[in-house]
Amino acid sequence: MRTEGLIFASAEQVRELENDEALRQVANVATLPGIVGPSIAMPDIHWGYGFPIGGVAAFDPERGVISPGGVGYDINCGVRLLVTPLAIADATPRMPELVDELFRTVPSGIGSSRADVELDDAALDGVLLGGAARAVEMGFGRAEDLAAIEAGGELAGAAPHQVSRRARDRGRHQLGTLGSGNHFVEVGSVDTSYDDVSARRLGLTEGTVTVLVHTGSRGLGHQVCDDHLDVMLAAAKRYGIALLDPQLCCAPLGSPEANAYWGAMNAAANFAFANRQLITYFVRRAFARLFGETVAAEIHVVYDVAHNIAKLEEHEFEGRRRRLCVHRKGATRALPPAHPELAPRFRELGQPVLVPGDMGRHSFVLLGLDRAASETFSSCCHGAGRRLSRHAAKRLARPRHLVRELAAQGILVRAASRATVDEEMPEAYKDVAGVVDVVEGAGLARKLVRLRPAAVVKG
Amino acid sequence: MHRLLEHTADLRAELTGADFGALCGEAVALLRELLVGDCRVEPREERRVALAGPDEAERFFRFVRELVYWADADGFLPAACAKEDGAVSVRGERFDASRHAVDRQIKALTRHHFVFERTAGGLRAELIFDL
Repeated sequence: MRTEGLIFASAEQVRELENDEALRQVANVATLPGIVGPSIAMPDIHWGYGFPIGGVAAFDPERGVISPGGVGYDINCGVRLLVTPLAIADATPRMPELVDELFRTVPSGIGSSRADVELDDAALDGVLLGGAARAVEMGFGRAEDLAAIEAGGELAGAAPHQVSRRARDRGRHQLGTLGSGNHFVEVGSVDTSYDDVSARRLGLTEGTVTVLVHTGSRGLGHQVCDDHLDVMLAAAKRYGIALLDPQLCCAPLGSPEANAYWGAMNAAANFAFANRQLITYFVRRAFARLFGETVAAEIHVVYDVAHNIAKLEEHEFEGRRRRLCVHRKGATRALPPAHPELAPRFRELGQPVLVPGDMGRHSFVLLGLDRAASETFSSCCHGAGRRLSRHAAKRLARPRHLVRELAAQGILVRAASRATVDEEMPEAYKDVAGVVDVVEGAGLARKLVRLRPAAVVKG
Repeated sequence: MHRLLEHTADLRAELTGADFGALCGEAVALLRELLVGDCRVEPREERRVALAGPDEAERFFRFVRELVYWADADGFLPAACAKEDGAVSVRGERFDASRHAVDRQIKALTRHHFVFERTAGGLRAELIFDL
């Protein structure tokens, strides 16, 4: 190991982690060349491939590396939070219609695609370069949405020519689709506010209906990762980088292989921002059909943030300002108040950190704090983190009827498959409340509001 | 034979077969089960995977990866396969919502903990899929 591991966890979470492969993965990341500071893991840490899920690592641009395994297959998988003008008491009677409408409007599951969004190569290049901004130009949303997205929904450095034909063909019809697994569109409401004044500034007053969107770059991003893993495996050998896990394959920052991945990764990240932008458009259309155009016009983006990404960022480390390549795999950026990268509306508050829980419990909105800047390269947790394997969850769910159980708790679920619902059962996840308590206790972020789910569309 | 093994987040499976062709057949059966459960998949279309790679392990890895790509790129569900000289032909059909129930979508075949080894009974592989 070139550095130490730093894991944020409660005593109970540490006990659960004993003998978990994720700990070995934290150690593996600590062996990569040019790592700066510790190999970090958030309390939602669990076994991933290459990096652990919940992993954060920063690399020196001169001596360090970039690794597709530190970003993951779902490049810029992330979360977007929308706020509506509706009160939950008024929306509840129409929730069954709303969840059906969302399920119809946002395609999910295997082979999901949209016939109403055609992208030829030129149009796809525009999306890969322009991200959410290009989606808005295409008529999917409003210019005001962009100010509430990380980096305005458009990452610099995208190189569409580094995105292969196979990646393009895989993603071409998937813009505006949800995918499968743990991805979802969730209608909920603010059920607890921890700071009324700040929450009100983001429109998050108690009882207000919200919509969380969790998805990423779909097949295009998965293929970009696959394509460049092959390149990086050869590169690691060529540059003499010893790998404890082939999924950690990497190349020195600034090398031709790293530059190629950088261009493709940012292009895929822009595709993901555009994907969530299109889904936002179709969510608004669904609300318009049920509640009218006036309501749809008052649905605003609170924030949109990636949790699978590598970014070049400025950080204060060991007393000096340094430019570092920060990998976050299942971890969310958490900028403190007054950070220059924040849009004006967030400067006094700090960056919203969106932390979805499982579909039966709560989700949280946090705000980034200074301590994250000094301890975790401004990073925070990204979700609850799995505790049961899909296999075990399915076994546990088999004799039960989860959709009915959740409906009895006032949570409607529509899913493309029963397998997804079973594998994503609430018990398969840690309690997200325990995860956010750890990051708040460590001073990385503070709780702003808690959201309660009312209706969930799953892939 | 194939079976699922424990893994916290992703999907881990073990496959065994008497030879390379049999192992590919197990991979086809596994993918079909993961994608559409026990729904019947008809061998209506034939596709070929040219076996490429420096060794048998890599050729097998890339074969399975191609099955994952086909499923996501155009909804191709594999039904059966046959080993040919330097290739594997795969028969199957496109996903049809009227006959197939979706079980899950597979993002990728990872290289993490990939195992491919000779055993007394033939070949054994371990695969981890990202879902």
